[in-house]
Amino acid sequence: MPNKIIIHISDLHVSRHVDRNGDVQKRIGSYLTTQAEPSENESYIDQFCKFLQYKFKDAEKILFISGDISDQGYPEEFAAADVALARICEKLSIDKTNIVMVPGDHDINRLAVETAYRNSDKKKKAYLMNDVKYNEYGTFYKSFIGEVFDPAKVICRILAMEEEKLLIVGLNSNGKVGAESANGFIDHQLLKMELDDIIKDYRDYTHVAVFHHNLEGQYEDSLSGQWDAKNKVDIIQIFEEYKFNAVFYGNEHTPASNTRNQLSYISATSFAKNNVSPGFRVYEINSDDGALRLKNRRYNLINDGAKTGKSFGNWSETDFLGGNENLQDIVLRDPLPKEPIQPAVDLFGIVDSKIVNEAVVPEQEVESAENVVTHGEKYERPTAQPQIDFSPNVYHDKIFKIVKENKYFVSGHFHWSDSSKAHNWINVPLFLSDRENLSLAQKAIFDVVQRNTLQFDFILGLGIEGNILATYTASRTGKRYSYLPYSYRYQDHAVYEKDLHIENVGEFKRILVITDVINNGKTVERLIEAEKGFFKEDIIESIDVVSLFYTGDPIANPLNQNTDTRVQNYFVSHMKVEKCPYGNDFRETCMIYREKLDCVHEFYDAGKSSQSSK
Amino acid sequence: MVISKIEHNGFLYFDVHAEQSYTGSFLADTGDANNNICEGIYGSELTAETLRNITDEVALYKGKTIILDFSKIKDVQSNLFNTLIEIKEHSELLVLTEVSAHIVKKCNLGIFDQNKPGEGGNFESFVLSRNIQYITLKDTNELFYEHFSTLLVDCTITNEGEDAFRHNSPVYVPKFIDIKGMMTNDSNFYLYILYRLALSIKEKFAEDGSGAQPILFCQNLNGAYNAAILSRFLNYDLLSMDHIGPVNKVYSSIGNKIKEEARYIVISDVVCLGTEIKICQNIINYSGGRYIGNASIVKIETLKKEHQDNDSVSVFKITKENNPIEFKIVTALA
Repeated sequence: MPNKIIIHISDLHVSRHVDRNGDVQKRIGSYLTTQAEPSENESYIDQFCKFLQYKFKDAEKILFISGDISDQGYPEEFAAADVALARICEKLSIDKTNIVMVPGDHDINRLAVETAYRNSDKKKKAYLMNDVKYNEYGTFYKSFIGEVFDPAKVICRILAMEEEKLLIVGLNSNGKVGAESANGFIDHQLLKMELDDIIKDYRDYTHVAVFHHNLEGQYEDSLSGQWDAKNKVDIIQIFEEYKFNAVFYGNEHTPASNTRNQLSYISATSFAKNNVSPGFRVYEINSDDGALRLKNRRYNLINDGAKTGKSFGNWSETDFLGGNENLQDIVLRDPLPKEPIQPAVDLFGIVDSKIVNEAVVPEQEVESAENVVTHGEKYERPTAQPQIDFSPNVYHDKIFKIVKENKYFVSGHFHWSDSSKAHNWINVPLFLSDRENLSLAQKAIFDVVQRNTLQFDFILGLGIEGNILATYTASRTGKRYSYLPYSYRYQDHAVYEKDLHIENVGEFKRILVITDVINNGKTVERLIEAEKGFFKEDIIESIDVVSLFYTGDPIANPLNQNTDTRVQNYFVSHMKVEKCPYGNDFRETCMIYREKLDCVHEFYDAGKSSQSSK
Repeated sequence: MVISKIEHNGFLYFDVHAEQSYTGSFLADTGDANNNICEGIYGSELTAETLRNITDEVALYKGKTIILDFSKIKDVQSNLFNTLIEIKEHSELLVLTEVSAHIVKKCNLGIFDQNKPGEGGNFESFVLSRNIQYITLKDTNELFYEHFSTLLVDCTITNEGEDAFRHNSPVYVPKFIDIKGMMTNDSNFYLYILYRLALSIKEKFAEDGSGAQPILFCQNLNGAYNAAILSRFLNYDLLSMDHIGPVNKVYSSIGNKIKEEARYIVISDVVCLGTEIKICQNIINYSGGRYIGNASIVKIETLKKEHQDNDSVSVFKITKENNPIEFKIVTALA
């Protein structure tokens, strides 16, 4: 029996039982309604509490409520919700300080906002009229939680669990919800400011967030979730920058649990809507040995139609694995290392934030690193204070050390083409020429595949090094495999080398591409363009790209920003290379090239168009 | 997943050492970044994981006679009896070939006492049956080459007219052996092909008295795939050189990668006239390394035996007597 659990409910949609004329509605969308007599609310809540007490009697309970508590934001809906939620807290002995509750788009009384906007001078957008927008929710919040809800802030709740070193941040994602429904939106600059203010007190905590709108969708074509596409990129970058490990949300009424680039996305279904299978989640907290894991349990109402039971059915645990649900354990933190880890310094002299040990790194060094960070060299920005970060990336640490010690990261002018030239290069062929390194790199790729629970039915090795790296994952998983040269080098290869040899008639929907280096993602975009016959838009559901090195600039040109494609990029190790900043006149203006100050490599016949070899 | 399964006349043949090599090279590693586990072809103890893989495969069939070839297997993990019985229950008959008395004893198979050992106490075949069974087994090498030939024929492309022109050699080759097609069409069996090539490489090149292992050298995508798999089977280092092939490019950094005095084996897909091999040989030797030979899937023997270099190994040789694809080389003079 766990000592502590988190109960996650969402999308209660407590609904009015009468229409606007005052007539009783024939059909109400939620099991929780405003009807006083006869009301099923009590029995619905009591059955839920009885079930949880039976399962987790002695566990301390924390409650997540991720929005859409009411259906239309009416006062009577909130009044009924207040009674129902208070009953849950009473029956399960949940302290109000242990509740993280955030508003959803249905918690806004849009009719009231529309009226207020119509009667206003229209200088302020309807979704910015916070007083009206959160009037009912604020009243309910004060009554239920006992605190004032501040609509001006995007962080509306924090819960710090000291024993587990876990900081839970509740966010208001209703930024653009007003008189009209809208996708999720959080002012990212405001979020950064508020996080800067809060997180300084919780530097050694693991961070997770709770909000309403789904950051990933299980239905939309773009998988971008119901979130403003541009804002989503900004928000995910902030989650990466501030080292959030998991996000919890609702909105879509569809349970899902997946990991992408070390961020776990957990979606809860509706707690009480009667047109879906209502459900909730319980996360059992396990914090042995400094690790922090959440055992992810899911429960649903099962209705067998028997007249002898409640009309809504009975709660039952649901087994899952596959499809939308892939995380039985949500790993927030790995165990503490048994021995102190020595600090590592990266190629730019930056103390690596991933393996800094507070005892051995002077603060000054880290501050000087911060100055460099502003140029964007580091994907994970070190903070001003040294901190122990247990992000699970042992492979990066080892690979980085090998690259550094063997000087595989080299400087000079490296000329891939007149439009693609850089002043650094990672000598991947030489790195892979040692079988220990090769084995490490192959395993690192497979580790990324596993940690992110990538689902795929076909593997493609891209380029010679990508092909070498991919053989391990291909042979280990037994999935269909083929390889291709980089599309910009098609001219250099024999006709049969650049043929996939496999036709895609619908058998391969989820593709895993493995390559050695990714910079801005354009290479894979070109691949998809060149192989349209295989990557058919009506067939392909996902293209996950895993690379050993990511050499791009995550600030100026982040990966995964194109939400219209099915492409998601993953990588083992980030080592940014500097691009040659000069244009077509680089032969005169690039001093390295002109004066041959350092090595100059013209890999692909600089200045010449490639000639067909076949 | 298994790599060595060959089906023939109601029999399913498995090369147990090949399966063990696959497990040891690709499945045994636990994912610990600090500890790489890759036993390659050097393991000779059959593990429960390998036998489980075979069992899972056998379970997909009904009524087959299962032949497990134990050649090169010297020991077995404890407690395999139940798994062997499970295989037996899935099959019409289970036969172990080239199995030692030690393994029979360790697997508690003594109850099948009608099997009689040969000279030295080992069993040429051991049938898991209480009754005497008379079966005729096919030679596994012969079986392999039959299977290989079928795949080779299926993956040979006929190039007529201009398409027969080879840009890297001044000849016309009307038949193109599509090694990539072999890999993509039957990737499991292709791993078995590479396993056998690994055994040949080990036998021919492993020892030179220095104790240093040879390095595998590859220069195109097919070679890179082969070399990557061979590197795990053999535990050899690997050097990829991109891209000497069709356009004969040699990049300026090339010499930096060759280690002085290290021994290099060029890994190729098909060796025809040996043009690319010669280029690789020159680069390796010029850069201070030592070219010691080449290994390929298919080698075309264009020379008489007395004129052939003795520096190559291949899985399949196309000769005047053994030419299932009617391979030929044509010049404008013909």
